[in-house]
Amino acid sequence: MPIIGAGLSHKTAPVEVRERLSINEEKLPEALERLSTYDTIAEAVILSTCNRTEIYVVATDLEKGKEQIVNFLSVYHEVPENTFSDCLYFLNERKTVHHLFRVVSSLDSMVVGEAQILGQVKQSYMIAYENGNTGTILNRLFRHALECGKKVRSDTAIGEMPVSVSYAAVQLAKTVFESLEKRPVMVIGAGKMSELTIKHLVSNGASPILVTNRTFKRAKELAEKFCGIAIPFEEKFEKMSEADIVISSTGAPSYIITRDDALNVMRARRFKPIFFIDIAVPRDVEPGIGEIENVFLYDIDDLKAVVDESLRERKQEAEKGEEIVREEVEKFMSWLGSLDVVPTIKELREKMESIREMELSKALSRLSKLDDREKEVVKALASGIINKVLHTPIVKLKEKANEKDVYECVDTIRHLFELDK
Amino acid sequence: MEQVVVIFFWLSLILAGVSTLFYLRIFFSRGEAGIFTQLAFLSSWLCLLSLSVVIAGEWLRTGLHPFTGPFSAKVFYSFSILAVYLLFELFYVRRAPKIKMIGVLVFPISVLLLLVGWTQFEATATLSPELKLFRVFIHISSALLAYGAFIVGTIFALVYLIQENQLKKKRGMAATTQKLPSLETAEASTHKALSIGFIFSVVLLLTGMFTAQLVWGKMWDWKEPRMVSALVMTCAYGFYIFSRDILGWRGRRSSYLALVAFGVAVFTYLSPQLLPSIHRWGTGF
Repeated sequence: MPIIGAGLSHKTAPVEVRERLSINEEKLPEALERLSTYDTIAEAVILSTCNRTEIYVVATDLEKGKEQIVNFLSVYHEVPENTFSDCLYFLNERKTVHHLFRVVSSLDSMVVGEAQILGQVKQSYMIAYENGNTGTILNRLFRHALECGKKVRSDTAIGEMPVSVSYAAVQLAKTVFESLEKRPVMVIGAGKMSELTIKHLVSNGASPILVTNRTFKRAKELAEKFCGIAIPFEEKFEKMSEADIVISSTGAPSYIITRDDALNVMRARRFKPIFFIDIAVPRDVEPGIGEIENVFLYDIDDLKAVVDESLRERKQEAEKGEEIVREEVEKFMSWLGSLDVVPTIKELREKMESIREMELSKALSRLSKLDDREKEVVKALASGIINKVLHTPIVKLKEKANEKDVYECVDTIRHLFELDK
Repeated sequence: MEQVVVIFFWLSLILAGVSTLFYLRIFFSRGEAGIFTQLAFLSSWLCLLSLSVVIAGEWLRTGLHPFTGPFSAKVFYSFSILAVYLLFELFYVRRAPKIKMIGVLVFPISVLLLLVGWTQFEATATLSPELKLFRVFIHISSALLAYGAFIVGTIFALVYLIQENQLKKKRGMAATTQKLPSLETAEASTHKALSIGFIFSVVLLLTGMFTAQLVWGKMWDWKEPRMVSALVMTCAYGFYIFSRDILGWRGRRSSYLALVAFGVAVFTYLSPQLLPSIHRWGTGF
């Protein structure tokens, strides 16, 4: 029975299509229920995040299975098939496995190496598992995939590098100050970019947030968002001596903070360390400030250089990740191959034959006085028993070959007769 | 008793070596080091424990107070460096987990000291009776504890300077910079370690003077290089603390000052070998 993976992701579908086909976590059990009413679908897991909706099934028939998945998506979401069929991709067998392993290892993510996907896959699988929609194959597949994802995370540095300017700023601040807990932050200019950086700082415990802006009203608005304090633009230098971190992102054409300003501020704060983050273009902070003792200045280009560097490193790490994925896919495929009916029957026969031969030679060595005809009879007896015993299981197994529960059956036989040893 | 000392000495040496490996493993591991963090914790504290057994054993074996011979001095040296470092780790590890990276430097130093000590195992100092005094015991042990604290403090000062240089050169995200403690932790730890060292070196000076009073009849001798040098050293560390707490010097200036003071400390340590001195008993202190 083929494994089919079908779905759409940020690589194939625009957000308008993705949002129409996404399935909320609470609705997953019901969706799985409906999906498994289709006659070819034996096992199913639905993975739905903001970047992808993917359906993994074990079906009794490849073509029919694909059709039924498309039909399910269309009927379930009440959208016509042609609105999304162009974005849909279908994978089978090895390609499905490979794809899932890459997804869970965050190699297929929009931001390669992001950490959420592992948890999302786990959650989707657990829902399907608890709901009884998974069986031998998908259980093994998803557990193996999750293992693979963890391995990629622990064996490569894929998730360690900052990939956004604001995250890099926080990491650097933490290299100056051990923790950002209760660190006063001053924000000059109430732009979008500074808001994002404040968010990161606040989530690391920074407070209070002092906001200043040329138009006081906007300073107040931004301050309210973070329970901060708005400060009139003229008083910024007096208050700056209280701040350990200063973020500047105004639209001013020339420097807002000159070397002399900074020196005054530093004297007022007795040269306690201060960290300037200048994310404005053109720059707000005079570059020479960075030479003053205990002043640390990073401008937008410095931060971008950090981010570019880590993106480059992530790419290298992703290569290592791909290698791990390939190995793990190989392992899974060899397990899957053993689950087919034909090789199982063959191995079962071989095992029985070896038992027969062993027992026969033991018996014949003890019955040394038998003549040739009598020996033939004993031999025929042995093979007769083996064939009769095996006949029914083999016929049943062959009949099962195209039924939904064939893998359970094969798995049981392999287990009972210890065929994997 | 000698056997006990030898067995625990080698146990300490092995534990220090194993701790070095664990700390290296933590340093080079990606993200969480998992089990190695606990293993390092275990082996490092066991090492400290085993070193204290060696010290106690030496005391009983020689009948003299410990740290009088070169061997036991090295053992106590090693002990005091580890004790100071491990106290810092214990104190800071929750707030600043990266402080563990200092262990990578601390443990090899104590391994080295123990190895040097082993080569001097047989050389026991013969002491004149007045040197068996309790005040001499305090004198020597505070010297060794002060040096332990100075070494740990100097490592922190070096880490500060490295980190500061990286940050100023806009290489704040380099891998090692991200692994080493932050400027704040390095600075505060330098200050704390050197303050501890300073207190011990004051005790060292005072007990030294009292001993001199008793043995030679005068408290101070300007011709005794180690005495003068120890005074300069104590003043240097005193100035470090004064400049930081009162004058508000911080960061780079402070750290350079710590390095200069350590230079004086090294000279003080070597002075009896370099210049004619009365501090001759048990060479290699």
